[in-house]
Amino acid sequence: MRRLRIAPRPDFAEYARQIGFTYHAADGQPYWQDEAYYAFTLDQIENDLETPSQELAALCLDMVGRIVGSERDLTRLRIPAHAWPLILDSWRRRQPSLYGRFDMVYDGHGPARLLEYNADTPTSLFESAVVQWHWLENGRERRALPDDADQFNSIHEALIQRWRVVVGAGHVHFSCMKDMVEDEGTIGYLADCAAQAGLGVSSIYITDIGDDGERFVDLAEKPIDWLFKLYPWEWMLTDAFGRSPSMKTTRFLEPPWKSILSNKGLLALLWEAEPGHPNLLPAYFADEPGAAKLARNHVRKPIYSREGANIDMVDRGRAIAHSDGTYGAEGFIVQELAMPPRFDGRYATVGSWIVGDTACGIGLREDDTPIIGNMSRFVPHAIIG
Amino acid sequence: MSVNPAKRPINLGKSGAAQRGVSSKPGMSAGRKSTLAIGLIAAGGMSIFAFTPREQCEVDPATGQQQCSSSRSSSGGSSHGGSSSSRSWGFGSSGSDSGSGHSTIARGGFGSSGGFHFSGGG
Repeated sequence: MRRLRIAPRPDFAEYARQIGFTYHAADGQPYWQDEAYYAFTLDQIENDLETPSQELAALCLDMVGRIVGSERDLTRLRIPAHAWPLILDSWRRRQPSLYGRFDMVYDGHGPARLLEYNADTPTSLFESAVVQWHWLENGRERRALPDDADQFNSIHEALIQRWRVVVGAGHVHFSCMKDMVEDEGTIGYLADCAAQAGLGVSSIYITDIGDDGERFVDLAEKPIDWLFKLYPWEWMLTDAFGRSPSMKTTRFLEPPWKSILSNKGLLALLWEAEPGHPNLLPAYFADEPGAAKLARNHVRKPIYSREGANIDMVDRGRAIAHSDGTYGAEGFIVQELAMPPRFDGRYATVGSWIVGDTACGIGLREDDTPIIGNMSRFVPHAIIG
Repeated sequence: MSVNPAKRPINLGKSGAAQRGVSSKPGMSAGRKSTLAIGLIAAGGMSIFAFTPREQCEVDPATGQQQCSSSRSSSGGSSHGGSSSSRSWGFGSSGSDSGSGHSTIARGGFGSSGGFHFSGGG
């Protein structure tokens, strides 16, 4: 695993405009890195990233089966009791999942280790699936990359196929919060994949969704049969509609049981179930006795959080990094500190994509701090040699 | 790890697998143009991903093609022929929240938690 420099494309901004990559630079700061990439060997991809991701995906499904019937664990995850029947029912019905992303620490040597699982509302999808692939093709065409350079990336094809499996035929409404450019880009891309799978698609802001008491409806009062929501389950469940009877008549993506996997408490439950697993880090609920084992070296994360918010890193008893945010009311977990590797002075983490139950690609994010957040930059990758 | 290249879920490897990946991606682009692009450009959209709320695509059962339409009206309820709702949960900012009051549709029941945070994605 190496970080290599590459000549940036002079026409990148125009390319980005043409394909609708509207958030390649946020607040004047470049989000997409066009002048560098990470090079992996095929062995690293297959044995250190793909296989562990596949195994972790299977392990997570096993964990849902264990947790969903345990009031004790659901309580430890701070999932509200009124939602338990909905979650259990979705699991018993085997309601299918669309996608998720494991964030892993990996330096090119030894096992990749799971930092967290973005199982509910992962973003950085469009750039992973499409922009990154176009970068590879362009790099080969202009001889900036070897002719046989490849990429771990069949995310796009997997998504289209997954839509066919999950929905088959019908109409899907896509929803997110207002004025979130990246979120709108993500649902736009997923809607495009669904459309290519032959589905009807439309979009509606999350606040515009209506409820007639039996069904959720769109602005035309058309029933919403399938709702893809880029809006976390923990928010859905605590919002006013979260207790509506309509929750039982709409099919959601991700399904309700994904609320178990998107919860940072999963990391503690995974370690509890599989202590010593090579791809896991020791983790405990912060208010449980096990947390004392990590007192001097840990990362404290809110049970519910996103985009690297409210993280505290402690190395040998000393606070080394902190991020602000709006999370933490529900409590925290602590996870053994595993510093992301540094390349050219930048910390890098690997996002490993799962579509359905298949590992099908990666995307890398890097930052000047060891906490990967919403402003962390996306860097493409290639398989070289 | 699947050792049989034919079973690999990814575009990996040397010549064979790479070619498979290369050949599949142009199809992706062509497919996209046949779906959202036509509808949105016709509707005044600037980008193939200008998939903003209130745009809609349906499959024509006769041809299998996507037909897309767009309404940029800010009055969501009336522009879609729907009636207006009679009550709001406070955070909903839909244009359909104010109106004749014939409907019993409640809006704004999702979104309140998001108002405290930066983004729904992660």
